[in-house]
Amino acid sequence: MVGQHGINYAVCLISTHFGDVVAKVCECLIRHGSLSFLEVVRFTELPQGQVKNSLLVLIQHNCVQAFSVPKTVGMGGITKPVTLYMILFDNIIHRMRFSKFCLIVKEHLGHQSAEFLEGFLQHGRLTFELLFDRAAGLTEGKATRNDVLAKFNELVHAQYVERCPKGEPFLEPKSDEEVSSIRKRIKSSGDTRTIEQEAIIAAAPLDADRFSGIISLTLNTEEVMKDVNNTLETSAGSKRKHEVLEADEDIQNAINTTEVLWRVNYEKFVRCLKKKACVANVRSRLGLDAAIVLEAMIDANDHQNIAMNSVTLSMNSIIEGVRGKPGGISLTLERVRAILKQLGSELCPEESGALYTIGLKGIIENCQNDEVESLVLHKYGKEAYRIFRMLILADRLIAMDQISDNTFLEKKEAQKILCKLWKDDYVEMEKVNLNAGVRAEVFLWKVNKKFLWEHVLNDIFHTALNISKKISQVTEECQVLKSDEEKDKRLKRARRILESALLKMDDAIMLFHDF
Amino acid sequence: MAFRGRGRGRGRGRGRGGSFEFRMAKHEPFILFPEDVKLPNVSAFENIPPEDKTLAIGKIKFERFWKSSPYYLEDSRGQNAEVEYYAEKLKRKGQEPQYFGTYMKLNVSHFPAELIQGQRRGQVASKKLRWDTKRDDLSLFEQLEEKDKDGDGKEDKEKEKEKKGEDDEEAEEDLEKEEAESSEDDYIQNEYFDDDEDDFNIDEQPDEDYY
Repeated sequence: MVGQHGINYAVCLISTHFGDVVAKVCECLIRHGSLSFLEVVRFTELPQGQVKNSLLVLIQHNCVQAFSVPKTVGMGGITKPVTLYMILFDNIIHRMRFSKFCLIVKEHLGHQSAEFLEGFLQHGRLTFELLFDRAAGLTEGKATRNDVLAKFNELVHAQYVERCPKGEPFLEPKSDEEVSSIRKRIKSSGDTRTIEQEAIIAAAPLDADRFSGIISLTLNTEEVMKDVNNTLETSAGSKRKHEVLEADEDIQNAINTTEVLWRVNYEKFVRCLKKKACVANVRSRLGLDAAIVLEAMIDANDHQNIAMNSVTLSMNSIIEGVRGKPGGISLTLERVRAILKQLGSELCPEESGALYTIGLKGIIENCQNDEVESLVLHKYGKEAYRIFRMLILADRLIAMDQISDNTFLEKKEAQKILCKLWKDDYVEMEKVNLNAGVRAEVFLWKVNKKFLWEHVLNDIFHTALNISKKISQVTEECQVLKSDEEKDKRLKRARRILESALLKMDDAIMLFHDF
Repeated sequence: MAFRGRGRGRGRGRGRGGSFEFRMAKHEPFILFPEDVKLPNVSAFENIPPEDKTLAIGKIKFERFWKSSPYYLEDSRGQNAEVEYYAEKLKRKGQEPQYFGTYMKLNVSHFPAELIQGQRRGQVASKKLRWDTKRDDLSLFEQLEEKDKDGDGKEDKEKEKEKKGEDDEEAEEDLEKEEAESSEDDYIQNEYFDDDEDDFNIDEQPDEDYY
C-alpha cells in the first residue's frame, strides 16, 4: 500500500503523459480499488465516451488490467459476468524510468535493439507487424523484415520483451468446500491472495508462451489467409491433410506476427536495476573486486525466482563468470574465496561441490539504511545522526541513559534531539513507570523500521512530486519567456538540475518500493 | 458516575505509547518562504555526469512523444474547450489528427468487449501510421513569425506536406466528423444521463447494486 503522496505522484505522472481526463479516471481507480465501468463513470462524473477512451489508453499502456467476475443479479439468482478494472500501480511509477530501461538494453544489446524497445515503451503494446512498420517508417524503408525479426527475437530471448497478458480473464468463483479448505490452509500458511492478485495470475500468459519468440515469418500474410481459406473449403481426403497442416503452420505464423501483442517485461528491468544498485553499494563498501564477483554471480544465476532475493552458485560457475568480466581475469581463487567471505556468503555443502549463497536482501537493507541515515544527518545534524545510527543498529528499545552514554552526549541535548526526531515520526517512544519506591519515569526509544521506511517512502514521493511540478512550471516559463536570453539560460540550467535530481529521487523510490 | 471514573482512567492509561498522545497544537503562522532555511550552493549540482544527461534527454523525449501522440486525450468539455479546440486545430494544420485506435489492436482477446463496442475498427493502411509524432512546441505566434522570416522556404515545405495529406484528406474529414459526432453524443448522454431510465443502453442490467 502506498501513502497519499505516492498516489498524487502517480496521478501527476499520468496527467503529464496522457492528459487530465485519463488522470481523473486513474485517480478514481487508485482511490476506490477495482471498479466496474459504470461505477467509474459515476465516480468521475465524466461522459461515458471519455471514460471508455481513457480506459482503453490505460489498458494499452499496461496501467490497468481488466478481469471479469460473476455477479448475482436480480431476484432469480442469475449470475452475469461483470468486468472490473484494476490499476497496476507499479507500472505507472515505472513510466518515469523508461529512459533507464533503454540505457540497459543499449548497453547489453546495442543501439538498434534499444530503438525497438523505445517503440514498445512509447506505444505500450505492439504486434510484430506494427514494430516492423515503425522500423520501416523511421528508417525510411531501409529496415528489412529479417533484420527486425532477428533483433526482436533477441529482445524476447533476453526476456526484455514478453507476451501481453489476457485482456479479460474470467475468475471462477470458489465453491464452498474449496473455500473452507482454503481457509484451513490460509490459517497455517498466512498467505491470502486478494482478488486482484488472482486476476494478475489468471491473466498471465503460459510460461512456455511468455518468452517464445517468433520462429519464422510468412512473407505475405494476406495471401496466406486467402490460400488457407481456399484449401479449407476444398479439402477432402488425406492428400489435403498435408496442405492443411502446412496451412495451419502458416496461420500460426500469420497470427504470431499480426495478432499477438508484445510488451516490455518490467520485472526483468527491475531486476537489472536492483543488480546495479547492489553492485554499486558493494563497490563503495568493499572495493572493485568484490563488485566484479557479485556482478558475475548475479549474471550467472538463472533468475528463476522473480524476487531475486539471493544468488546461489558453485565455485566453478563463479570463477567462470568472474573470468568473463573485464578486470576479473586477475582474480585468483583465494581472492575470490576471501571476497565471498567478506560478502557474508553462506556455504551449503552439496554432492557436486559447495554452493555459495549471497543474500541480496542484506545488501538492499544496507542501501536503505545508508539512505535514511544520510537523510537524518542532513536534516538534524551530526549528533542526531549518531543517535539514530545507534538505534537502528540496536533494533530494540533503548533507555535514555544508555543512549546518552553510548553517544557521548549530555542527557539534555540527547533528549532535545530525540524529541525532535519523535515529532517527525523517525523514532518511537515508550514511557515506563518504575514503581520501585521512587517513582521514576524512564523513556525508551526505538526505531520502527517498517513504519519508518513507509514514512520515508511517502516523503520521497512527495519530493518527487514537488520536483515534477517545479519542472513543468519551469518549462512553461521557458516557453513564455523566449526573448529574455539571460532568464532563459537560467531557466534551462534550473531544468537540467531538476531533471537530474528527479532521476536520483526515482532511484530512491526504487530502493524503497520495488527492490 | 462510575462511567466518568472509568473514562478518566482510560485517559491516563493512554499516556504511554508512541505518537498517539493528544497534544495541544501550537498555533503558528504559516510562513511561505522561511528565512532560516540554509540552501546549499547550486554550483555543487551543476556537474551533471553525461550518463544522467542522456537519461534526462531520453525522459524528455518520451514525454514530448506522448504529449503529441493520439494517446493524449483532451478534455472536450472545459469552459474554453472551443477556443482550445480551434487553437489546436491551427497548430496541427498540415498534420493529420490521429485516432489512437489506429495503433491498437481493438479486439476481444486484448480488451474487454464493453469498451470496444463503440470504437472504430477496421484495417488501416500502414502508410497512414505516423511513428515520430512531432508537434511544434513553438506557440502560434512564433510559427507565424518564422513563416515571415523564412518566406519561400517554409511555404514549399508546407505545400509538400499538404500534397501528402491530400490522400488522407477524406479520411481526415471523416475522422473529424466522427470526432464531432462522438463529442455531441457525449453531451447528449450527459444531459439525459439518468440512472433509472437509461434509454440509450438497453442491453445493460436494470438492477445494479449501487454502493
